[in-house]
Amino acid sequence: MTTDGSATGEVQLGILAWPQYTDWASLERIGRRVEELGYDSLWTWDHLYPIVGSPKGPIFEGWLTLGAWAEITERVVLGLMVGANTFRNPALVAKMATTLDHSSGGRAYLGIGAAWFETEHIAYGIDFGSSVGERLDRLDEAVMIMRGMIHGEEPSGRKIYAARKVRNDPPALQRTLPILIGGGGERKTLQTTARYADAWNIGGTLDEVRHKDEVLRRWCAEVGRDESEIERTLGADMVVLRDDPSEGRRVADEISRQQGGWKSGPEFVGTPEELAEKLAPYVTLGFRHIYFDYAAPWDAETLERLVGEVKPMILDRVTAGVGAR
Amino acid sequence: MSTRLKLGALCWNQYADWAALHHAGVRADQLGYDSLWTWDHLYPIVGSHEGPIFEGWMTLASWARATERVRLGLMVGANTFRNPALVAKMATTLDHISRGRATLGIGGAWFETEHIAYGLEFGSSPGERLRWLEEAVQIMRGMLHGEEPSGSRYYAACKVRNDPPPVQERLPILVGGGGERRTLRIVAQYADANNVGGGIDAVRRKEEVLQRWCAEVGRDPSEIERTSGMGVVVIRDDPAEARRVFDALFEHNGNARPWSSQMVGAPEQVAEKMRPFTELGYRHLTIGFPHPYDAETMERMITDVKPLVEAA
Repeated sequence: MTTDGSATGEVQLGILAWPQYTDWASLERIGRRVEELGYDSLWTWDHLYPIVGSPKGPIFEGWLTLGAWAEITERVVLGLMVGANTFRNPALVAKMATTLDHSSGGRAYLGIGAAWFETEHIAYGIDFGSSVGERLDRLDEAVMIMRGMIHGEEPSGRKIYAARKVRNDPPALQRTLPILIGGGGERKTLQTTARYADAWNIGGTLDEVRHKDEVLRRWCAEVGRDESEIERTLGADMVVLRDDPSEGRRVADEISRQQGGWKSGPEFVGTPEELAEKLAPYVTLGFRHIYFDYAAPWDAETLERLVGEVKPMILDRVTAGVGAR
Repeated sequence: MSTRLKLGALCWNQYADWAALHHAGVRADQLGYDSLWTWDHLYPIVGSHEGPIFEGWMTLASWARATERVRLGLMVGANTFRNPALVAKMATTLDHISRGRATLGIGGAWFETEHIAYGLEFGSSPGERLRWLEEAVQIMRGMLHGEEPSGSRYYAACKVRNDPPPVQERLPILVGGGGERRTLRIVAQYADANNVGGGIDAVRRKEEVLQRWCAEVGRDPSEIERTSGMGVVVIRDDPAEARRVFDALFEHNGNARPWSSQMVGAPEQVAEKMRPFTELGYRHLTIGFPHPYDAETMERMITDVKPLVEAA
């Protein structure tokens, strides 16, 4: 049995509200609703064009969305899942995250990843680099700078960024504003995560996630990081909860239609029991913070039942599993 | 003849705590200011640079939900800090959050220290930064108008879409600065508003230059809103008390040397200094409020000074 803490009986749920193919009033309302229902975290994307369905559709900017949500919520933690490192100067991003931490009363996460969606980079004239590897090298140096700033140091860039002894004043409200890195690249992303991150997000099958987690643990050992310091978050895709499968499929189709003609549609359609059965093993593996994608037309039943039914069912299964050992 | 005067509150985001900065914005809205602004700087620009300052766009996002009526913007955004198409996207999102109250404030940027520290490209001269600004504003203007603009020499934007469009039919772009060869030409060509400072004589001169540029590029000058920054104002009936409050503001702001020729005193004295601006056609005047955002001045600008200026 690993010492992943699954026996502590805690699981946190989050919602990633898609900022695409919606209007602002709805996106704002969903942020408030997520908090009312008792979720722990509220996320959005950092994209400039829709990434699901047609890219020619509406989408809101991520940081401003977080800033508005900070004002109208009181308890949920807030972050980008995840920020696109290519979009902004990394020291400026640390400054923005710090200001969000103040405006939210200490609820900010700095979510960051290398970025991948070439279409939006070309349209906006943002340097996409020549390869995934190049973007990951940039990410590594960017996160080094961000971490230094958040820790009250005065970091400088090395090869890629020109930051020079940059001060972050005022400091974040939280003692350590968590940096969350998204991605599972085994050579670079997980090394960067082991060195600098406070949280790590991944998705995939149980076997894939277990494997990535093992790789992360190896990197932690290699760089001398205590792996238990890194919060594991799981991206659980989009789910539609219904007791009646045909009704579930109807809801899923409606979401697909509204989301720019999303061909594959929500990844999971089923009952709370089925979903809890699927997710409990991840929690046992140490991924105790699970977020779900959620998009217009914002199916109310799914949002309520995730936190009202699925969460306790996961806890029951995890506790029973631990007790059986 | 009475003139309608618009007042802006520029709440300095340096040497402040968040609660006070947030509250100052809410207060400006409640008191009836027409516009609410903050800076786009990463290090304090008044007093010691080694002090606290909040990021501008995140401040606006919060104010957008905490206020109801006041217009919101950066006075002014630093064009060097961010990709211009991304800035248009941010301004558009702010317009939605605020239900149509956003202004996109932008300028060439000037404070080298923060650029060096943050590793931001500062360029080799003001001229170079203004060339960047011109192309940036072209892209922003196109995006806000529902076109699909592309960059030309400096920016790689390529038929970039801004979707959703802003709530406002025309989200105004305010260009800050009075550079006579380039900035005011950019204003004449692309801007909906211009902000200049430096006192009435400087503003009078800039106004003439702007008029000339408008004639040259074929722009109706009445389409451009003129705004001017009034520096830091402190209102007290007792001049000595006004001076004491004024000096304390600067001391608090990084031990700055107090600015000279500011509007410090009784309402009538302040109104007297503002009238020449309104007579010149600058009917949107922005007052600088450093932390701790002197409550009496914020209030009496609206209750006492504004009617005096409007009655002139």
